[in-house]
Amino acid sequence: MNINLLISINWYKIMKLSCCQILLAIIFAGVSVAGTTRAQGVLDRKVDIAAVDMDMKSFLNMLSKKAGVKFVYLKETLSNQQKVTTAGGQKDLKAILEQVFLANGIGFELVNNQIILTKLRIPADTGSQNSEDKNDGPEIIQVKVTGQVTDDKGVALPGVTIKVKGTTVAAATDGQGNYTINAPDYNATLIVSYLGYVTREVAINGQKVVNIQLQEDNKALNEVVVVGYSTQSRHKLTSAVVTVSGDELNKRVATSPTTLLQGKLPGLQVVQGSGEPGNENVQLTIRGVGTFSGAGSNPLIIVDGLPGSLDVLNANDIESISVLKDASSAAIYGSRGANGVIVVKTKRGKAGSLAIQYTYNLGISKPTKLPDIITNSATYMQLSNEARTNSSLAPLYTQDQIDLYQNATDRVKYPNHNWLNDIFRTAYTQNHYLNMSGGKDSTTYSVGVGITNQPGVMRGFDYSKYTFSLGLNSKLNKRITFGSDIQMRYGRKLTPENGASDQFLSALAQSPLYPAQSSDGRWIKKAYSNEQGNKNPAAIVGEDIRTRGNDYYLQGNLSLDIDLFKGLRWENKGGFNYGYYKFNDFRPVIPTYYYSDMSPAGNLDDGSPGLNVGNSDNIYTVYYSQLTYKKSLGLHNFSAFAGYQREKNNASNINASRTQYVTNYLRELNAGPSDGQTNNGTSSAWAISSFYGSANYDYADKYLLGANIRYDGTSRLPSNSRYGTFYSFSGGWRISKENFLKDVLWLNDLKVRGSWGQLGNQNIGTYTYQSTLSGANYAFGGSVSSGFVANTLVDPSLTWETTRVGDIGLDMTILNNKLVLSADYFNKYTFDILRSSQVPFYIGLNAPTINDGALRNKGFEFALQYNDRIGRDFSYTVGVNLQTYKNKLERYGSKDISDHTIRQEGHELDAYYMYVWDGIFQSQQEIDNSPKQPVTPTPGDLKIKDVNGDGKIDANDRTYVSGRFPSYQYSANIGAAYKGFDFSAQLYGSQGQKAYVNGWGIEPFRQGSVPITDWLNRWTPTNHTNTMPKIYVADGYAAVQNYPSTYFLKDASFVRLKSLQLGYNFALPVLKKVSIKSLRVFVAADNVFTISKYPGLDPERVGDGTYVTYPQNRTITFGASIKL
Amino acid sequence: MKLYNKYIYILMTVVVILVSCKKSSLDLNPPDKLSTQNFWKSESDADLALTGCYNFLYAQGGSYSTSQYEVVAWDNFSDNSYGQYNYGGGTSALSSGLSPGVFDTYNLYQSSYYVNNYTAIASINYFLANVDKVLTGDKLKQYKAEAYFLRAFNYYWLAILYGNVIITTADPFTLDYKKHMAKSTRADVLKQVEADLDLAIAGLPDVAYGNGHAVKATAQGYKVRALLFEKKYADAATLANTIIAGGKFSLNPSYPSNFYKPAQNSSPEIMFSVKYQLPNLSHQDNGISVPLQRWKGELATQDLVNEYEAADGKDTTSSAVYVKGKPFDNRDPRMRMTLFFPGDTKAQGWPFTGSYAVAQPGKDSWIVGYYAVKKWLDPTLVDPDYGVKGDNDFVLLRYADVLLMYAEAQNEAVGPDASAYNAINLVRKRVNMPDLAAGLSQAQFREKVRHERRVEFALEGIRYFDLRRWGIATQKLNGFVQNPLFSTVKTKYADNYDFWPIPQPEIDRNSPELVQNPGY
Repeated sequence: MNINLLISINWYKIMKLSCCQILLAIIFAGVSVAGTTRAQGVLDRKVDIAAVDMDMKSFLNMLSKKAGVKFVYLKETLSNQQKVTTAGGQKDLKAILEQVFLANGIGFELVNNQIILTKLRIPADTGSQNSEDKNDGPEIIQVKVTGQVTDDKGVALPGVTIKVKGTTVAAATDGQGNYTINAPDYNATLIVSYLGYVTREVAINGQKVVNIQLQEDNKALNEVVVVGYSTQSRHKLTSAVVTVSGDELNKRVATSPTTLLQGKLPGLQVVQGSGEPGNENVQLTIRGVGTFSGAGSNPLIIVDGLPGSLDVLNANDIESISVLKDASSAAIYGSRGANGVIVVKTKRGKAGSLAIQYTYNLGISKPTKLPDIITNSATYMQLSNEARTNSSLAPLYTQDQIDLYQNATDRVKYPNHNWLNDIFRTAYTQNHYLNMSGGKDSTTYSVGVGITNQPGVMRGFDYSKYTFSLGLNSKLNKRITFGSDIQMRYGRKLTPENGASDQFLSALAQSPLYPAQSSDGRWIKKAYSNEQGNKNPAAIVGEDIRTRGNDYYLQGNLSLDIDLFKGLRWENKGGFNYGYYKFNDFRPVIPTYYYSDMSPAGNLDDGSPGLNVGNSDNIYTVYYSQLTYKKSLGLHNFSAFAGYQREKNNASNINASRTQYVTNYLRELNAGPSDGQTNNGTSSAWAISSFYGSANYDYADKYLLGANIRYDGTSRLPSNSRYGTFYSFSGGWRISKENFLKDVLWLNDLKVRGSWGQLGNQNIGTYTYQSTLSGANYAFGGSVSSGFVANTLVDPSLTWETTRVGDIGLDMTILNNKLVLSADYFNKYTFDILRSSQVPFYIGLNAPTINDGALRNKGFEFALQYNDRIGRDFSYTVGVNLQTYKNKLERYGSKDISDHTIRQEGHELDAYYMYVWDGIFQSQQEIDNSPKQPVTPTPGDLKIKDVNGDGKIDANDRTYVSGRFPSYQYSANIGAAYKGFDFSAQLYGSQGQKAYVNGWGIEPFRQGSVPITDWLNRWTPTNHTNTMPKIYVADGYAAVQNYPSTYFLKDASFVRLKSLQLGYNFALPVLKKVSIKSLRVFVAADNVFTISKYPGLDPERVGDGTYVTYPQNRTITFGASIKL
Repeated sequence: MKLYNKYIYILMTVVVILVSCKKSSLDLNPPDKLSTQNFWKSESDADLALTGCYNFLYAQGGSYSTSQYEVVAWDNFSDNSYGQYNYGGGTSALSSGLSPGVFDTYNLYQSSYYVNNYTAIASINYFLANVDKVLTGDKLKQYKAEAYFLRAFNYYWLAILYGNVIITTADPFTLDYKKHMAKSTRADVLKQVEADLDLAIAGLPDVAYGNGHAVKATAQGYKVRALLFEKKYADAATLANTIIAGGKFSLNPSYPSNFYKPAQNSSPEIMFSVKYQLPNLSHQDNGISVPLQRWKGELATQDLVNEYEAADGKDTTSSAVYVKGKPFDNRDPRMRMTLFFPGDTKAQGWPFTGSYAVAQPGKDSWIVGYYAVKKWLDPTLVDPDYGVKGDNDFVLLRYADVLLMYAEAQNEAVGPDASAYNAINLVRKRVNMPDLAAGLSQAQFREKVRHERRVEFALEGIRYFDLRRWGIATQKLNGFVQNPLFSTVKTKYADNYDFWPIPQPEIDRNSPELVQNPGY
C-alpha cells in the first residue's frame, strides 16, 4: 500500500522542457499552491524512525508510512548505493529529511502534503540556484572531504549536520559519525552543527580528511532552567538562580545527594557535620543564617515541582538541581521561601529505544583524621598522676602499678591499648545503580533502582539504602500531557545505643591499661576500680546494643497538563510524601569486670535495661492547579501564570517500652513482663493554602521584567493574622543585544539584572499561638492522678517572619562562549523574627513566641567557568566560585550572653564573646606583675588578658571575637578529557570560621580520657612553653576551665581536595557488536587531603561543642558504568 | 477528543471545588492538649488543676537529673556528705563558691531552683484565680487551702535560698511580662509565707497524712519551720506543741521504715513527702538506690560519722562502751541505719552479692575515707544496678522534726524545761539512745539539739538550712576539707551566701528595678 503512495515516474521529458522543477511538479500534481502555512505543519510532524545502513528506497517506504506523507521523485535522484543511518527518537520530519537527504545531495520541497525530492546542484554562488541560465551550465569541479565527528569524549556523533559555508551544500554523519561532503574548493569552511553542542566552523585547509570534535553546549544560554512552577530559558532569567546538572553532581561519589552539592553552587553553603552513614548531618544554608527563630534557616526543597526530600533520592536519579537564591525567584514560594529554595528535577527519560545503564562502585573509606592519643600505659599513668596533683587531687596510680606497666613483658596482662582501634575500621561501601529509560510513540519513561550498602568507619554503624525512582511522561493526545514521578526509599540503619559521639567519647574515656575484652570474652570496665571512665564502647557493639531503625519513604506526584488553546496551558499537579520510621532499641544486662583482678565491676552502662520501640509516620499531601499563558506580539514577549495550591501535613508517633527482661536474647515487647510497661503517642497537623501568580515580559529578548506574588494562609498562625502576601519584582537588561555592542565579537552575552522582594517564614511549632494545658500528674495515695497545668504564654497576634532580599547580578559569556561569568550582590533583611520572648522568670510561665528582632546578611557571590580545547583530542574546563557574606543582628532586645557567645544588637548573631587567652604564666613573678586573675594562678596556668585595662580580670574583660561565620568560602574545579580519558577534581575551602571545642580529646582526663600527644609538650617547671599549659584534670582546674576563653577557640579554616576522579571510556568496536553503547571505568577519591590549622580532627564540622565528632571519610572508589 | 473533553470538564469542576474549600480548614487544634478556653468548666477540672499544682514536687534540679526535692542531695551543700558527681550542685557550690551563674554551666542548679519555684507559684496562682468558677463551699475552702499551702511551700524555699525575691500572687496570665519588678525583703517574703500558711491551716482537714495531700499539721509544721527561721521561738514552740497535742502523729518505732516503700506508706511519723508510685511514676533517671549505693554518688564524710555518739550517749572520747580500733561498733544505732562501713555484709544490709558481697572502700567507686549511704535503701534490694527503679517517697517533714523544733524553740524561748527534754528524749528513745543528761544549760541544750538534728536527719536535706539559720554556716562550711584525703581542697562559704545570688538573666530582664543580692 505504501508503494502506492510513492509516485515514481520518468521525468526525462519533463526535464527536457527545461522548466522550473518545482513549477512542473506542481503542474504535474495538478494542485495549486495554497495553504502553505498549514502544509508546513507536515514538516513539523514528530516521527520516530531509526535506521542503520538501510538502502534509500526501503527507508523512504518506512518514512512514508510513519509520517503519513507521499514522496515524489525522479528515479535517478535516488540510488540504492546511498545508505541511510539515523538514530531513533522523536524528531521533526524536517530534521530527518535534512539529515538524510541533504547529506546525500538531495533537496526536498513540500508541495501540498507531498514531498518532492530533487538532486541538488552545486551552485557557483549563493542565491543563484534558481537562475535559469545557470541550470544548464557545467557542474563546478568539487573536492571531496571526509572525516569523523565526535564529542569531547571521542564518542562518534551520528546525524550531525555539516554545511559548506556560503553554500547550500550539506551532509550528515552516519552511524559511525563519518561524513563525506563535496566542497567547492580546498579553501572552503565547514559549518558543523548538532543539537546540544556548540556549532563550530572548521576550515578545510587543503585536507582531504577533516575530523571534527564538538563541545557539548552545557552552558548554552537557551538552556532551560527549572524555576518555581515553571521553566525559563537562562538568557531570560532576571533572578539569582544557579543550576547544577545531575552529571556534574555525580562526578563525586557519595551515598547522600545532599553532600554532593558542596562547592557546586555559589550562594549555597553546605557543611557536612559527620561521616556517619545515613546521618551525615548536612547543614544547607542559602546566603547566610537568616534568622535565630525556631522557624530555622533550612531552605525549602522542591522535588519535581512539589515540596519533598532530597535525601530520599539516589543521586543518580537527579537530572538537575537549581538553587533559587533571591526574592525574585523564591517569592513564588511565599511563606516557605525565605531561606531560599532548592529545586530538584529527577530523570524523565528520552524517546528512543530502551537505554539501560548500570553502575557499580566500591568505596574504601577511612576516617580523614583521628586524634593522636597517648597509648603508652606508663606514660598515661604518670601524666594522670601529674594532672591530678596539679588539680589538687590524689594520684590514682602507685609507682608500683606504673612500674608494672613500664617494665612488663606480658603485654596481654599489661597492655598499651589503643582504643581507637576498637571503634574504627576500614569500611567498604557498595553501590549498585540500574537505570532503564526510553520511550515509544509519545510516552517516555525512566526507571532507576539503587542499592547502597554502607558500613561506617566507626564500628557498629551500618546503613543500607534501597531506592526506586520512576519518571513517566505521556502525551495522551495533541493537547494533554500526563506525567508522574515516584521515588521510594527503604533505609535500614544500625546505630550503637547513644550514637556516634557517645561511642567516640566513651572510647577516649578508656585508659590504655586494659583491652576491651578479656581473652575469655568478658567485657572489661577498667583496670583498677579507682580509675575513672565511661562505658566500654566495644562492648556496646560486641553485644549488639544498637538501635535498629527502619525508614520507609515514598514521594510521588501526578501531573496533567492541558493546552486549552494556543498559548494557554492548564497545569495540574498533585502529590504526596509519606514517611514511616520504626525503631527497636534493646538494652541488655551485661556484666563487666576489672582487668587487674577480674572482679565484677557492675553492669555495662547501656542505660536502663529493657526495650523501647516506636514508630512515627508523616503524610504530606499537596496539589496545585495553575494556568500558564504565553504570547508574543512582534518583539513583545509575554508570559504569565497563576494558580492555587493547598498543602496538608499529618504526623503521628507511638512508642512503647518494657523493662526487666529475663534474657538478653528476646528483643520484642511480648518477651518482657508487662509490669512497668509504658506507652505514649500523639499526632499533629498543619496546613497551608495559597494563591500565587507570576508575570514575565521582555522586549526583543533585550529588556526583561518579572513579577511574582503569593498569598498564603497557614494553620500555624492565628486566624486573623495567618494570611500574608509576598511578592517580588525583577528586571534585566541584555546589554550585549544593543546595537552598540553588536560588533564586539568577543562578547557573546552580557546581562545585568536586579530584583527585590519580600518573603515569609512560618515554620514554627504547629500550635504555637494556642493556649493549651500540659499534662502534670501526681502519685496520690498509691495511684497516679491526672493533672494539668497552664504553663505557656501565647501571643494572639502572632504573624509571619518576613525577609526582604535585594539582589544585583551580572551574567557574562565571552570569548566564543568559552568563558562564563556570573556575579551577585545581595542584601537580605529578616525582621519580625518569630522568637521566644525574654520573659522574666518570676512570671513562672514559658515565654510566648512573638514577632521581634531583625537580622541582616549582605554578601557577594561569584562564579567563573572556562572551557577550551587544545588540539583535537584534549579539552579542559576550569572553574572557580566564591561566596562571602556578613551577618549582623540589627534588633534583638536586651543582650543575651551564653556560655561563650552573645546575642547583641550590632554584632553577628551568636558572636563569640569570651576571655582572651594571653599565653601561659611562666613564673610567679609574672603572675605578680600581671592583672589580677579571678582564680589564683600558679606558673603554667593560662593567662587571661585584661582587655579593659583596669588591672583585674572580671566579666568586663570578655570581648567579641571574630569567627562565628566563615569570611568566605570557595571552590575550584578542573576537568579535562583526552581521547577516552576524563579527569576531574574539586577543591573546596572555607576561610575564617572558628570552632569553640571542649571536652574529651582536648581536655585531658575528662572521665579519665586519654590526653592527645600534644600534652607531651606541656608546661612543666622544666619545660617552659607558651602553647600548652600545665596538664590538669578536666573539671578540676579552674585556671583553665572556669572561663570560656580563646584557648578553646580553634581556627577551623580549611581547604580540602574534596574529590578527584579519573575515568576511561572504552571505544572498542567489539563493544558495538554486543550492542554496548558505552563502557566506562573510573576511580575516584573523596576528601583526598586537607590543609588546616585545626588541631587533631576534621575542621569541617557543624558548630561548636564537643571536640570529637564522627569523622568525615576519606574514600577511594572504584567503579564501572555500562550503557546498553 | 470528546472523551478527553469530558475529563477536562470533570477535572475543572474538581479544581473549582477544591479552591473554594472553606478557609476553616486552616483551623487546626492540638489533638492531645486541652485548650485553656475549655478548662474550668466542671468540678473535676479543679482536681486536675490541683494535681498539676503538686506536680512541681518532681521538678528537676540543676544539671543532674535529680529532683529538687530529692532531699538527700541537699546534704552535698553541707559538711554531711560529698557528692562526687555533683548531684544537686552542692559539690561545686562548696568548691567554687556562689556566683550569679550565667556563664558557668556548673552553677545551673541555682537558676533552675529559682525557676522551679516560680513555675509552681504560677500554676498555683492560676489555680487560685480560677477554682471558684467550679467549686463552692467547704470543698472550695479545702482546695484553696491546699493551694495556699503549696504557695507557702514554694515561697518558703525561695526565702531560705535567695532571701529577697519578687512576690507575685496574681493570675500569671493577667501579668504584663514586659513589666520589670523589684524584689521584696526576706522578711516580707516570709510574711507572705505565714499568711498563706494561716489560710491553709484554717482550711485543711485535721487528719493524719497519708495519700500525699497536705493536711492541717503539714501546714502547721511548715509554719513552725518558718517561725524558727525568723527566730520567733515562742510562736514556734506554741504551734509545735499544738501539733504534738493534736495527737495525729507519732514516731515510727522503726527509724529506717520512714525511708523506703512499702514501710513508709504506713509510717505515722511522715507529715509531708513527695509521693512516687511504680511503675509509672518512679524517680528520675536511675532512681535512688543505684546512684547512692551502686555508684556511690554521695558519700558521707568522716565529720558526720564523728558526730554520732557512742551507744551510751557519750562522745567517743569519753564513752565507756566505745572500743578504739572498732570505731563502727557500739555507736548511736542511727549511724548504722544511715551508713555502710567497711566489712559490712548481708547481715548489715549490704545489698551486693558475689565477689562484692563485702563492703570495701576503694572498690566500685567508693572513695576511701568516705562512707556509703544506707538510708533510702530498700532492704530487700539485691545488687541494685541499671534499671532498678525506685519509688521511695522523699520525706520532707517528719514528726521527729516537729519534736526537735519544739525542743529547740522552747529552749530558746524559755530554756531547757521538761517539755523540751521530753521532746528530744522521745526522739532518742526511739533508737534506744539514753536520755540527755539532766541539768543542761540553755547553751548546752542548744548544742545537744543541734547534734540531735544532725544525726537524726543526716542525708535528709536538713543540715544545710539548719547551719544557715543558726548563723554558723560560714564557720562550719568555709575551709572545710570535703575529702580528708585531699587536704588542699577547701570548701568556700561566705556570710553573704546565706542569700543566694538571683539568676543573672532575671536581673537583666528586670533591670534596673531588680538589683542583685549583696556581695555578688
